[in-house]
Order: sequence, then structure tokens, then C-alpha cells
Amino acid sequence: MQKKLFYGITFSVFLFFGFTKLHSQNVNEIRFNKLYVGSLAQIFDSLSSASGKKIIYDRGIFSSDRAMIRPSNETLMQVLDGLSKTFRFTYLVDNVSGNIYVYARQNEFVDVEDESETQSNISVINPRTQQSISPAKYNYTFSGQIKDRTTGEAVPFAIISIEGTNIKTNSNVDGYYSIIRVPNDTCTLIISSVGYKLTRLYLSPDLPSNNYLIELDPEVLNLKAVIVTADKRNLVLSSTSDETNLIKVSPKKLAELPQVGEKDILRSLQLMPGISASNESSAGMYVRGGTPDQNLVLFDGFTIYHVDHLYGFFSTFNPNAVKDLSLYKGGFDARYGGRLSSVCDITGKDGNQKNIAGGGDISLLSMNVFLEIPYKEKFSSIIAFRRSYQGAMYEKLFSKFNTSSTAQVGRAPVSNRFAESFTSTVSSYFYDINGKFTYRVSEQSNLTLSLYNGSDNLDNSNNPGMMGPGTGSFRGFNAQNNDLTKFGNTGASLKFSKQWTDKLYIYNLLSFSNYISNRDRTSQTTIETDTSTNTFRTGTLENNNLTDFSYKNDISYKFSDRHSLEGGTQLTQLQVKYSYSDNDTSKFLDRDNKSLLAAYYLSDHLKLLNSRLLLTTGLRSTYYQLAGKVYFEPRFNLNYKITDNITLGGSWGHFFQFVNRVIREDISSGSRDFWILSDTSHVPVSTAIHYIIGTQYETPDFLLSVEAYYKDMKDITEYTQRIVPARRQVSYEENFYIGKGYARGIEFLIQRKTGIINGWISYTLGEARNQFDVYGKNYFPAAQDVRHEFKMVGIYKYKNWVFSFDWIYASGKPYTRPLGTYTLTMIDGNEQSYVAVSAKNSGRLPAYHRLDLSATYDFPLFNRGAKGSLGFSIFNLYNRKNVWYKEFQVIEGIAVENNVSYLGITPNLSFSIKF
Amino acid sequence: MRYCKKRAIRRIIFFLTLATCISCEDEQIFENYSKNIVVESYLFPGNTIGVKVHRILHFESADSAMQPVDTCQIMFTWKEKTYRLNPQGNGYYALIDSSLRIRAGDTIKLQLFGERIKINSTTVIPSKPSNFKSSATSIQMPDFSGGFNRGAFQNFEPIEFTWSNPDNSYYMIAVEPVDPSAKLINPNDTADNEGRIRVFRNEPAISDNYHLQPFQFRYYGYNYVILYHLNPEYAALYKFTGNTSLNIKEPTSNLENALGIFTGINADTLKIYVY
Repeated sequence: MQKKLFYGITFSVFLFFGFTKLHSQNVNEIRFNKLYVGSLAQIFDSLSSASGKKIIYDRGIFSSDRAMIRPSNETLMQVLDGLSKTFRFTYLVDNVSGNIYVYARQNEFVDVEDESETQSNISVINPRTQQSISPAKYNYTFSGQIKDRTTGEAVPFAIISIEGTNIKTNSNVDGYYSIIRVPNDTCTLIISSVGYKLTRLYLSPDLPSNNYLIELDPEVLNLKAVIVTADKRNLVLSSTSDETNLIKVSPKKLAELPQVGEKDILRSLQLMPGISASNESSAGMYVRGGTPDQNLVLFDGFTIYHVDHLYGFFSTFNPNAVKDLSLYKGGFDARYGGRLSSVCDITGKDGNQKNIAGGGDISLLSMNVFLEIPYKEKFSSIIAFRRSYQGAMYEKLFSKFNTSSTAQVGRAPVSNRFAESFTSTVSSYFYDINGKFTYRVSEQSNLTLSLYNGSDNLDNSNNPGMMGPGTGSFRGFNAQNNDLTKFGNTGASLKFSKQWTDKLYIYNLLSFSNYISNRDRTSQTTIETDTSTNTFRTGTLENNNLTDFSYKNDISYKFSDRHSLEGGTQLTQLQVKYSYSDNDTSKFLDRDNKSLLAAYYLSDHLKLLNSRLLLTTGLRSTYYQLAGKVYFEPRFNLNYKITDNITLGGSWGHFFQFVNRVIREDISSGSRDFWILSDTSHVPVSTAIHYIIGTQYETPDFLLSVEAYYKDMKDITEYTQRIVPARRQVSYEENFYIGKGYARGIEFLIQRKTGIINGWISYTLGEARNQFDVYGKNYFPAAQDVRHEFKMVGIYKYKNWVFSFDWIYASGKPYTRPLGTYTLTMIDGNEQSYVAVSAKNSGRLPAYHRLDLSATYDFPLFNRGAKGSLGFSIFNLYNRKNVWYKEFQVIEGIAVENNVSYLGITPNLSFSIKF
Repeated sequence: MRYCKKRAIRRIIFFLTLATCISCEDEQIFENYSKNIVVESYLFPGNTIGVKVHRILHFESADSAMQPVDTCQIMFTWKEKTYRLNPQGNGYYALIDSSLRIRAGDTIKLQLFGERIKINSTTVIPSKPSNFKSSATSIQMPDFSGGFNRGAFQNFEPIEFTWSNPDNSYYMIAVEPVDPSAKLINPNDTADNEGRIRVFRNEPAISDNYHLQPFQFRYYGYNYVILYHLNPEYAALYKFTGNTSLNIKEPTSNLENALGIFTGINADTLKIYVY
């Protein structure tokens, strides 16, 4: 089928170029006399190398035929003529570029309207209707917007390249594109975007050169393409990449990967190298030895500070509301700031602009519905809502991850003698709702309002009940043990963007983000008598509230096809409150900090050496009011295309983080972390320097990638009550400890992008270590340190079925071990036992591994256009008992370890409809 | 051209191999944990100065109890004078010197040499609690004859204890009978397995008052209500040190290179009659 497709395409191009079959003088001056042996592809390469002329052909077609030739003082054309007599190909010379195009011979001209199997992989726009055409314009600018043909939604970050050249650009977040210096108006554009058919646009003199709408067809069933593309995306004809360390996900195709209950956009990323996949209890990503808080998560421009649902088993992002996701694993450019490790930039769906659309999913865990409503082609909207329900799957996950009943925080608030009358009211749920409303002010400008709210509510409270009535003056006694956890995010952004000219794009964005986390583990005792009511409250209360108001302005200007400049400003007002109190009286911590962040950035993109070398140089500068300082962050990124297939890339940059999520070491359940603003004393501004280098080898079928990184971090903060400050006056502020760390590693990826069976294999060798003076002068393994991680993903498509599997192996995480016990006699005569522990994180948990399978069947439903999908998946097929953590008990001087494991084998069913 | 390509590939491979080698450097895990010694010393004004020294009980060890360490040299520094403590056996060391009378506000330094390590610590003797008062001098117990859960309380008025705490120090209340053989209020509330007197105590807190409920008394007759003025290092001993690999941490200690406690304490006492 592929060959047929290629014949069709190439023959149409042949017709286009037929009149240009000219044997130019320069080409004829080169004479060949050597012996050439090998496949046709190898011979073409040798001829290309010897002549200096670029020979463009499909390696997949010409790699199988072998030949041996010894030309006798022949020109390149004579050599090719000789070969073409034996083998079924023809060739053309482009007078403009000098490139030589080699095509397999085909008897018939492909009908671009034919809906044959050939057409399922590719779309053609403006097909050639005549066999000869002359260019009318040269070196001109071609611009417009790229949209989804079925929904009318803008397609962000699509790659547009001009065939046979190194000229390439990306559409921006609103789908606008602009190609400066198109060689002539008979060139062919190739447009690719994950989740869409590869599209060829044949330029012609009668096409408008600006405001040209390119409509992409979404990929349909039986498409042999990979779902999650690696750092080089799904480029078919171009191997150049402007940005290293980038992973893109197509939410449209998430269902094809094995899932646990929910399609999860962040979980799918964990299948790629460099992102740890052994954290079932965190949807937040551990990218290249970093922690989830070091990952900047943006949704339609506003920051999401906490991405976990249901103890981290799912992320807060509803895939039905997501259009695009880009993850920068490190070395991100100056456009982004405020985080040490990585950036996850998510673009929400705009909603169908042509018809009312909608759909829903139901699984054993949650229900999910969405509705897209357009209005008069100017307005589109989408509302998506998801809520868990306490079905079998939810109960299993909840009981697995809800450890509150075994956790201890301080002493038990109520004596055990009341236990007999406890009534438990355990309940929990999560929900999220997305809304996005887009108004197209003009062809070049959009006004967008995006809203998000999501929350988790967990209630493990119990009520021992009312005792009484009493005698005498005593009237009653009531006790309530609270165990309440609520956390969630609210976010909103209002964005106005405009493509002012072919070269100038500006957007302005106002955003709001709020993260709350409230934890109530108190016991309230009320005693009523005739004369008084006394209420006693014991336990701990924890409240974290982060508010972020931001204004962002971004300007992008293209000077030429090889030089562009981006710049922007960002103003953010942050307020972070955190209080942690005990017994309703003592506040261990009570912080309320505000600060203004004012930043600007410039990022220059320059292509050199015939566009083979791309240099991105940037500078970000941030004024942090709380510290009263300006922080400069230089960034540098290069991509050098050594050959058509091999690219060398590297990044270097400084990064600062002003708002930190601090892990509390003293509790094991509920919210183990809290966000605080850096200050100049106890919580410094943390900093990192990235060094990244890698290379990629890409063919139309395969991608091989190797990347090495080193990340040097300073002034990272941890909170612990482990050490008592040697002072008379206690200050819990002094329980913040400052340290440093580094992460380094190397990632390997082999990806098969096409074929009935596709997928990838990756291996990461990594290390993350920290040093805090409070634990000693030596570096110790950071909690997220994983030495080896191996992942394998395979996808097989057969008719309407998609089968897939993944297998993950990760070496164990470090933990602190108990070594022995000792007893102290307290001043009241009681004896208290303690456990002495090993050096921090000196032990290792067993290796983590699991196999997941899934099968999805898609079918038409009800009426034309509606589609149903039935999914079945098995998580952890061989029921591996992966250790989440260890529980310790000391029984008669012997330490007893009990492994608490992650999920065992978990099947799930899901059903989706879309109309 | 082809030669250049090969050379470029070779360079890349060399660099990546180098990076791999760097990444493969052996991890140093510091298993040899040095804190094997446990020191216990409470310094009350006017009392004899004593220190207990033991080894922790390793889980792998064949011992059934902590082993005493009698071979240490222990030095006290008080008002720029250094005193040496004498071993008394069973891991206990004492200072027999009547000239050393520590008082509130004194700073004491401890130096311990032994087991091939040097242990240091410093503490301050807290002031005696001031303005320690109670809202009553006696309290009547509820009648438990009908059973606790049936609710037979006659009176739930607690006794309020107050004191001054201008510097936000830690305080702790403990209640124990004046007469060790006093009658238990709740007949089911027996002494612990080792026959010790059950005392009530709360956890150290930064506070200047405490409401003692009737049901918190355990013995009839006169009871001492002791208010301890504590240092933060003692209060930290009451913090939960974790029971899982997610939260386990080293117990708090103010001793360098050792576990345990070295702290000054002061106290004041009231008597409450329970009937």
C-alpha cells in the first residue's frame, strides 16, 4: 500500500516537473568512472556525494534493488539514464534548486479524489490538473492558517516544509503560519502534525499568497502511524528539528495506548525516555531526575500547580478538552521561565467551528462528557466535565492509595475506649470541568476565554457519637474525628492574539490560577453542661493557598526565512499562604508571602549553513520583588543537521525557580507537600544549569535518538523536623534546609514510526543525587533517583481494532532503612522507644516492572459521523507486586518490614462515543 | 563528504560514550552509619549530674537489650571549668562534686570521647516556671459506678493551670500521686506491666495554660501537678519519627555524632486533692 501511495504521489509530481526535465550544463560537466555496487539508494547517495547534487528519492522503495555499474566517463544524467532502463524509475531536474528527483515509474496518474486505500495516509490540496505549469512568483511570502478540516479548529505547531529544500516553519499556537522566501509558486508544501494525515499542498500561481487556509484531515482508522512521537516528531520527508528535548502527544490517539481506567495525557508521557514511569502515586512528572514541582505546567497559558487526581493516579487534564501537548524535557528556550526542570505546555481544544459536536466516555472509574457548540462561524465553544464515581475500579484505587487509616500524625486524638461507638463516613471523589470560548474577531485575530476547575475531596472522618444524657449538670458529650482532605486548582485565561502581518504575530494574555490544599486531621470534643459548653480541639490543620495573577505579552517577528525574533514580557503577582497548626493553638508555620515577578525575554532564532544549523539564543530576565533582585537566565540551543538523516543538538541554559513545592518528610499520606514562595532567608531562590547534547538518526520509518544531560541544581529546599535547632527559642522556620543536587543521564530511543506494528524501545541510564548539610557532607540518592529504566511500547492495528502493549522496567527507588532501636526514659518515668535509621536513602526498593495490554474497537454509531469505541485493558498483566513503600514495625527488638505494593492486575472496560 | 560524515558520527559516538562512562560512575552509599551511641542526660538545677551511655540495639545483633558503654571519658564544661564524670557501671556516669551547683540560665557543654568518636552537645538550664497557679486546689471525681459509657458525670469543670510564658517556651504537665499506693479512681485502670505508677502527662507545647479534666486524674488523694519548663530538644522527642519508608527519619537529637538527649529542665509543683 505504501508503494502504491508513493507511486501516486510521485507520479503526480512527475507530471508537474515533467516539462523541467532539463539536463543542465553544470550537471553534465561531472563525469563518472568508478565502480558502484550496492542498493539503488546507496548508489544514488554515492552519485549525489560525488556530484554535489542533491538526489531526492524514497529510501523505502529504492533500498531493495541492488545494482553494480561502472560508468565510462559518463555524465550524471547518462548514469541515471542507464540505471533507469534496468530499474523502473525516472528522474527530473529542478532548474530552480538544481535538485534531482527520482521517482518510481507508475502507469496511472493518481486520482486525488479517489478514496482508495492509497489515500488514507495522505491528503493532497490543490492537485495538479495540467501537466505543465510555469512559476509566476519567486521568493515570496506565503501565509495563512492551518485548521482541522472536520472541526475547523486551528492546528497548533504543525510543521510546514517545502519539498526538496531545507525551508521549514511551524504554525503557532493559533495555527497561523508564514513562510518567508518560498522559492516559487509552483513548489510543494508538506504539512505534518501529530494526529493528522500528512498533507501535500501544490502551490500554483492562482493560489493567494496570504490568508491561505490549509485544512488537515484527521487520521482515520487503519492509519499506520505512531501515536506518541519522539523528539523528532513524525516528520516524513524532513529530519530537521528546531527544538531538541521535545515530546509531543496527540490526545486524539491516546485511547490506543494501554490505560488504567482513564485516558491520561500525562501518564502517556511517562512511556517516553527521560520521564520516570514507576510512580503510580504521582501524575506529576519526574523529568530527567527533576521533581514534579520543577515542571512548569501551562494550560492555555495559565499555570497549573498541582496535577494529581486520586492520590496522583490520574492527572487533572481531561483528554477530551486537550488539543495539543508539548513537553520540553530540558533546555527550554527563554519564552518559558520559573522552573528548574521542564515545561509542559498544553493547549485546550477550541471546539468544533462547523457543527455541534459532543461525546462522552464511561469507564469503571469515571464519567466524562463534552459538548462543542459553534455559532455563525465566528464563535466556538467547548465544555467538558468529568467526575469519578465510586465504582469497582475507583474503590480499588481508593483503598490502595488511601493510607490515612494507617498514618500517624502526632498522638491519637481520642482514647481507644471510645472506639466501640465510631461510625465511619469514608467518601471521596474528584471532578474537573473545562470551558473554552473562542471568538474569531477577524481572519487574523482571536479572542479566547479558557476556564478550568478541578478538585479532589476525601473524607475519612468518623464520629464516635453523642453520649449521654448525663446526670446532674452534665448534658452531653460529643466527639468528631475529622480526616478531611481537599485540594484542587482553578484557572482562567483571556487571550487576544493577532497575526498582524505575514511576519508579525502578537498575543496578550491575562490569567488567573489558584491552588488550594486543605487538610484537617483534628478531633473535636464538645462537653455540654447546664452552665457551659466547652469545645476542645486537638490534631493538625494544614492550609495552603496559592494565587497567581499574570499578564503575558508575546511578540514574534520573522525577518526572513532564516531569522526570527521572539520577545515578551510577563508580570505575575503571586501570593502563597501556608499554615500548619497543632492543637488549634500552636502554629508551626504561618507564612503569607506576596511577590511581584516581572520578566522579559528575547529569543533569537537564526539558521545558518544553508539552514543546516539552527541557533537559538535567548535571555530571560526576572525581577523578583521578595528578594529585590534581578535574575538573568541566558539560554542557548543549537541543532546541526550533519546529513539529511543525522542531526546533532545541544542546549545550555540557566533556570531559576521562585515558587517551590516543599516535601514534608514527616507525614506519609494526604498532602505531603506545600507550595511556598522563596524568600531571602529560609527558602532561597533555587537555580539550575542544564547541559544537554544528543544526536538523532531518522529515516521515514525509524528514529534513533541518543541524548545525554547534566543538570546542576543549587539552593533546593527540604522541610523536615528531624533536627532540633541548637537554640533557646524554637523557630519552625528553621526546619527548612537548603541543599544542592545534580541529575545526569543518557537516553536511548529506537522508534518504528510506520508499519502494521509500530512502537518504540527506550532505555534511560540516570542518576539524581542531593547534598544537604543537615544530613552530612556526602551526596545521597534523591528520592526520585532511578538508575535504569527500560520501556517498550508496541501498537498493532488490524481493521477497526487497535492492540497495544507496554512493558516497563525501572530499578528500585532509594529509601531510608531502620537499623536498630533504642529506648529513652522520659522525665515523667515513661520509656519511649525510637528507631535508629540508616544514612538517608541508602537502601533500594526492589525493581519495578509491569506489562499492560489493551484492545480498542472502533465502530460507526447511530448515524453518519458518529463513532463508538469500546476499550478493554489490563494493567499489570502478570500481577507484579511492585513495592510502593515499606512499613516498619519493631517487635521485640526485631524490625519487621512489610511491603506496601502498587496496583496488582487491574482490568478495565471503557466505552466512548463521539458525534 | 562521506569521510566527513563518518568522522562526525565517530565524534558523536565518542562523546556519547564519554557521557555514558561519566553517568556510570559508581554510586557511593554511605552505609557505615556512625551514630551507634545513645546518650541520655537530664540536668535539673540542684540535682546530681548524671549521664547514661548505651549502644543502639542493632536489628542484626544477637543482643536482647541495649549494651552499656562504660569506657567513655565524659567532660562537662560549666562556667569555663571542666569536670570529669566518673563511671558508675552499667553505662551510668556521675559527677561527685558538691561545688558544681547548676542554676537556671547556666550553659553546660558535654564532651564525650569513646567508641572512636567525639560527641558534643550543649544545653541551657531553663528558668523555673513562674506564676504557676491553679483555679482550684481540689476536685471531685465523677461517679463511675454506672459505667463510663453510660454517662454518669456529676461535674465537668476542669481545673485550669496557668503560668507565665513570655518567651514562648515549651511546657509540659504531669500528674502523679503523692502516695505511690494511692487508690485508683478507675478500678480497671491498672498499673502498667512493670508495676510502675501510671502518671498522666501531656505533650510538650508552647503554651501558658492547661485545662486538666477530671477524667485525666488516675488516683484519689493528693496528686502532684508538675509543670516542666523544657528546651526544644526535649519537646522534639515527642515528634513522630515515621513508620514507613516514605516518612521514616532519624529521631531528633541535639547531640553531635550520637542519638539521645542532653537537656536542661526546670520544674514547679502544685498539689491537688482528688476525692
